[in-house]
Amino acid sequence: MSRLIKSIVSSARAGRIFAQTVSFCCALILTVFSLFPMLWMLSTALKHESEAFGMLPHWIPVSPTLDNFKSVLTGGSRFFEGSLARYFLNSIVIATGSSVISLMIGILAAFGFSRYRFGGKQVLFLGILLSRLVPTAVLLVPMYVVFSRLHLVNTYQGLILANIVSILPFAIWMLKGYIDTVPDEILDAAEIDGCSTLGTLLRVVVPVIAPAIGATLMFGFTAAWNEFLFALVLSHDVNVQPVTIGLALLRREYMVQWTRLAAATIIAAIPSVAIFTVFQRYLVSGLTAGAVK
Amino acid sequence: MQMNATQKRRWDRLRRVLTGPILVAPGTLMLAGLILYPFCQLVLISSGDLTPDFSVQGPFGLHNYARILQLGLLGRVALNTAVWTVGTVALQTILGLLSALVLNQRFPGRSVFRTLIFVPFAVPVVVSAMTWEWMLRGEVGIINVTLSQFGLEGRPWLTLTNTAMPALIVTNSWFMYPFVMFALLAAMQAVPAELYEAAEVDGANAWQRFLNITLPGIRPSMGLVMLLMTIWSLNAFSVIYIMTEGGPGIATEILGLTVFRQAFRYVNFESASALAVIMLIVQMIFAATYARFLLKEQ
Repeated sequence: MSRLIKSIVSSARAGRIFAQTVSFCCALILTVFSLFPMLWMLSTALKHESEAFGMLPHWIPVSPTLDNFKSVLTGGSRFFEGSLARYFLNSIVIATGSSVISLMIGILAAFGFSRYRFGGKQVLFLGILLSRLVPTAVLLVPMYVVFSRLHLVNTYQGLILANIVSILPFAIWMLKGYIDTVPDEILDAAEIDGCSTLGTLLRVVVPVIAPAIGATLMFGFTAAWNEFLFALVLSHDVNVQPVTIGLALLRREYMVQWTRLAAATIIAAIPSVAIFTVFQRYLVSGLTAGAVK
Repeated sequence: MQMNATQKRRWDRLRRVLTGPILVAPGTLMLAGLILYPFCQLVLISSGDLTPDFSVQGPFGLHNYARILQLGLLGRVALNTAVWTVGTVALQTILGLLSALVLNQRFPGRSVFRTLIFVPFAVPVVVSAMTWEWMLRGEVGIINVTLSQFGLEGRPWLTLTNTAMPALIVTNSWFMYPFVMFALLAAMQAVPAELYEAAEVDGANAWQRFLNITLPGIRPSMGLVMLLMTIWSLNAFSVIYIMTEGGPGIATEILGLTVFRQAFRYVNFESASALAVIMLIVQMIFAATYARFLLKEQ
């Protein structure tokens, strides 16, 4: 009898180990599928041009070089005015500005939606969420026209405003979800202690919803960093254009140096990937808190 | 400022009533100014005429709409948009579901895999598009080379009419499916473990457990995610613009690209606006139908 039980238990464990191994292998395959293009790009970026085109495609560079990275950061070319560095700087300004401003405005609005009652609140909130459904291409033309009238084309302010459109609804939604979870007692206590609304907000609410703030900043920065269409239309010279446009310009050169382009894409991708990876756990907690309501 | 009791009460009431709207005002005004106002301008421009200094004037009518419909390429573009949307949402959902199922199992290192799989989603779309374009190139592309090593024929994927759209769909799904995986994984982990245990006791195998417990459990999330993916793919621009620019010919041109091209290549803002309005109406009808279908399910 005990031998029968032992064989059942060990086959169950064997079954579990088998399932674990299969899952592990599948996960490995999926990860390879997700990562190999970027790794291939990295391999290309480390090769000399002659090696990338002359020999059959291979993974490990025969004579690795950092020249591509250097030349793309410092040198220039026909359509690619200045260097990638300037486009990179523009991206930093635009992404930081968009995410920080969206956060500040968003936190005020989220607090208002969460804690206060007023007429039309539900409709307004729903409207804000639904505004994300508007395709960028639809807004493209009128935004260009309106911005042209206001002399906002080809300015940092213009691009930051355009990015805020994409970021703000999501920021409000996520921050509100998190603020909803702050217990009433804490807020009432702060009010009794004589805190003004803003004071309550800053001193009590902000520390509690720190993960959601991190997630909002991360989302906003990444979204603005990766944005392409608005930047394509609302900016037209190297003083303002972000790195996504810079890459496209480098691509359009009539004699594309793919090794340089590969180096440029790696450089352009690093900030958003780094920030995303570091802060992604905040996104998890921010989103689930928002969904719990 | 000294107030008597009545004044103070009134001031407190005023504060309570006004604080909410005041907090919400900056965000609302900003979005209204950046979305509603341009939208009104869009409708105006689409039915009128745009002067060189960007003001709208009459005559107002449907002539721009007629012109756009007369162009004759709308049929092909609409078909492309439908193929693109259906194809990419389907592939993303399949990949997302599969990977969520895999990552829902417990095995060592699964959180590492989860983070790594998510990387493509964080990369700028432009970078992903260029990476895949580089891989899909005729002779030097790694994909063709690998295929030939297995004895299969390589192709100039992005310049052949039949293979361009599938290639774009694969590229788009490659960096979008992690989001689906993420959402479905969260939904799966919310399914109570007792349901699975009870089913196992009843003798259900893995496939039956999946069909009768997992799928119904994640249905609401899946519906929502698919709606979001559909809207995002209708919105897609960079991938196609970078990789094929709508080509070869107009084999991969979708609605958004046509709007862009009309406005900023042919400098025909009025026709572009008309097309944009049509695009918005189509999308809203679609989203409303989908949403009603979703709500009915629940």
